[in-house]
Amino acid sequence: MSSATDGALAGAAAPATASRKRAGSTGGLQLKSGERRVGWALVAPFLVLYAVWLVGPTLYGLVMSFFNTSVARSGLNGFVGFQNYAGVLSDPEFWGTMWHSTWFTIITTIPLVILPLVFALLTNRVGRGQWIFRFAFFAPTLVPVTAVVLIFGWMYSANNGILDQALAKLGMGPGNWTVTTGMSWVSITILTVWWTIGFNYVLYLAGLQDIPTQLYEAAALDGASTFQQMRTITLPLLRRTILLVTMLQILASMKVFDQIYLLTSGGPNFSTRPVIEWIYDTGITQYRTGYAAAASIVYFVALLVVGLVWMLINRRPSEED
Amino acid sequence: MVRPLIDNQKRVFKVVRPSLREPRDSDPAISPSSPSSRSSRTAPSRRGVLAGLGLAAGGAVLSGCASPAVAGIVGTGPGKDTLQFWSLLGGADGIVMQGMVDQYKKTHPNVKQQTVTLGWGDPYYTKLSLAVIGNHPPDVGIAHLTRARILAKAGLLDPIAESDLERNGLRITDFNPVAVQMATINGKLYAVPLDTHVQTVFYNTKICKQAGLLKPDGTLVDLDSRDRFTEAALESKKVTKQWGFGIGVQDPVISWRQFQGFYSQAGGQVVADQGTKVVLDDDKAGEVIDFITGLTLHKGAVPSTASSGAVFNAFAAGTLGLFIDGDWDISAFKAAKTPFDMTRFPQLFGSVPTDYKVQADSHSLVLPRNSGRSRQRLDTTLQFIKSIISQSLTWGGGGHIPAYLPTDRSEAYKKLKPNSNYAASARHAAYDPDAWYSGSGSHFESVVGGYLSAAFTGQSSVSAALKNMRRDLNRLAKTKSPLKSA
Repeated sequence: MSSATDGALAGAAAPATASRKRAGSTGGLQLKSGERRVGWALVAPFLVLYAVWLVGPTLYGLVMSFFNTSVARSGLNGFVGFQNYAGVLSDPEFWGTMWHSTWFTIITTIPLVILPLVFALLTNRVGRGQWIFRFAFFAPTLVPVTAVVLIFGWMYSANNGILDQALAKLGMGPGNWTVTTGMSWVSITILTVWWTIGFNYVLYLAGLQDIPTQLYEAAALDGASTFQQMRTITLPLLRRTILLVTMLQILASMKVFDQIYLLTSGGPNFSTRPVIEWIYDTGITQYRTGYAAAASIVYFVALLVVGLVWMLINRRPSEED
Repeated sequence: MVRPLIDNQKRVFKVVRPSLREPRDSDPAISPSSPSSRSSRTAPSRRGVLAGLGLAAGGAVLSGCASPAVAGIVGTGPGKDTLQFWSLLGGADGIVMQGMVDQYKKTHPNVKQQTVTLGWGDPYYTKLSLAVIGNHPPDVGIAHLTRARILAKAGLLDPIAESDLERNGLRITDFNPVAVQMATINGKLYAVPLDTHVQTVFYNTKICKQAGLLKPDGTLVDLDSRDRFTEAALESKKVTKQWGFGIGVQDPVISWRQFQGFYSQAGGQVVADQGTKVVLDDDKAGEVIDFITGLTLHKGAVPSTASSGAVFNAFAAGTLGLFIDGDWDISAFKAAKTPFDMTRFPQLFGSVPTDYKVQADSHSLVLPRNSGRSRQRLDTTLQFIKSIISQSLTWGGGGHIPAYLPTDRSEAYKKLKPNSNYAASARHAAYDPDAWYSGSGSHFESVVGGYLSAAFTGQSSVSAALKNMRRDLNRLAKTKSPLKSA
């Protein structure tokens, strides 16, 4: 399952890699055959693992999706043609959980594109001790999901959690952090933003530090205000980073599974269950691997389309650069 | 917070925060890609991790010593001399079971025993299934009988021969026949029933006395008619000035349990033929839903706006007179020092007393499939099961009705109050339907229960609930069972 969705990224990245390779060969860089062999040898471990853990399972999933494969039965267990696909496409649970994943993408991508940009802009203005901020914003990214959910689970805990206790001190009722559907989304979003903000932040910061300082000097000499400098220098030159961050964020959010599974298990009553958890529930818990494989492929294609559409939308302007 | 299925079964005092839950397979060191990270980030670390695993595996082979993690990777499994017991029991049940296992260890000092407790419901059954398929089954595991049937049909359990049981001092005729029937498929026994856990009526003796709901002997008046039930609820409400009969109708699974009890009393069945045929009777089901909806929405006899946790807490706090829930709440109410007693789930449908039914399931002990199980190991395992079964009185203290008849019939159990008040319910257990998608903690309970709960709380009409139930059931019935070979 996850290999299928991982594949989406690989698929989206492939054209870029290919074009770079073409450029390399037409650029007239002539490698000696010995060097080429060394090159292949160096890449081989990755290629082998990539084939075994990503390409292989994806192809196997594709094959399974045409069979009534079951965890409880050996082999592929009977060819069913496109029945699984027909079932998935008309399955209200599939579309319901697809919407949950999409909704999660909407509510997390917006803060995760804007907030890290704001923090990166602020950090970039700090002269001394910038590393403290870089470290503080990036550190949560390094915490494993289990630990993050453990801590947030305690904080969200009804009545005894620190948040409910704080609310009680303010004379307010419990926050129902993971009790109602609406609050569950809020809780999941806060957790996700805190946890993953660092990666986008670092990308932005790198982008900001690539902007030549003389542009700002020149602008300042011409009397441009800080705000004008940001609008006319920073944001335009950061455009490609913003596009990249948005793309990566959409794909990452669409693949959400672990923090929701651990925090709410998709509850209350399945109202926050993302599509990947539904695929897991169907394929592993309910033994219906063939059907779940078909759902994975459908989702894989959906992600591929998202990636391609994004590339097409943004291709022309970037060629003008 | 916790998956509602987990929540519902043992909502009680056991605070199953994610903090206490098994980290599952999401150990970040092994899980190759966390969905919220990007492959661009994880790719290098994935390679690093894999290289590390390769080294670890190689190292283990060379050194021959195996930590559990390495054992899992290279596939050596737990030590051959260790009796592995898997359980899904948490909270009060888990503590009682651990005491029973400790007792076994005391009497069998020569056996190395290891208990693994996993998250209740689907996470547990998923891991149990995968452990068998991965050829690393535990020797013995706990399973609900509704789930044991599914595991058995999936070929994931070994049948238990009567001769093997007898050699180890257990006779199948010593167990509740209703549970044994559930544990039997095509004439083969697949589980040794430990208990039957049922829905029961909890009543606060102080409030009920004030409300005039106690008989001279101090027990609750007869509730076995819809009018009397409603009256009792309203009388009790006059005393507490809040709620009448507390039933967690906001909770899908709790709603399902009430419906299944009453609907079975009316002689109704939801699905038949291993779940391939929907036989929902709109008239009978409608009558049951109408009745409960009347209690919640029209008569104010059952609170429709209180969460299942709120009614539970109210009863524990002594501000609720009457409460229907699973027998397992007993430990929590004893701990809370609530003045309470218990009686069986009422009969409000059906025409004769023999129509009586109550929604139930049973914990049982199963032998996960293991083709390499030697006779000696089988005997050690069955001795373990025997030790657990022989402590049925201890187990029964937690609220569940022992399936072992010598305990059920014993004077000691008869004196165990309030447990023995409702012990006879075990003979009238209405288990969840026999279908691959059904059983305790299943999606079926949440889906069907969800529509029931919507009707009970006034979010949908009775006819809409029935229509939605039928639509989803038809879908499930048409789905090819993953338990069958093509």
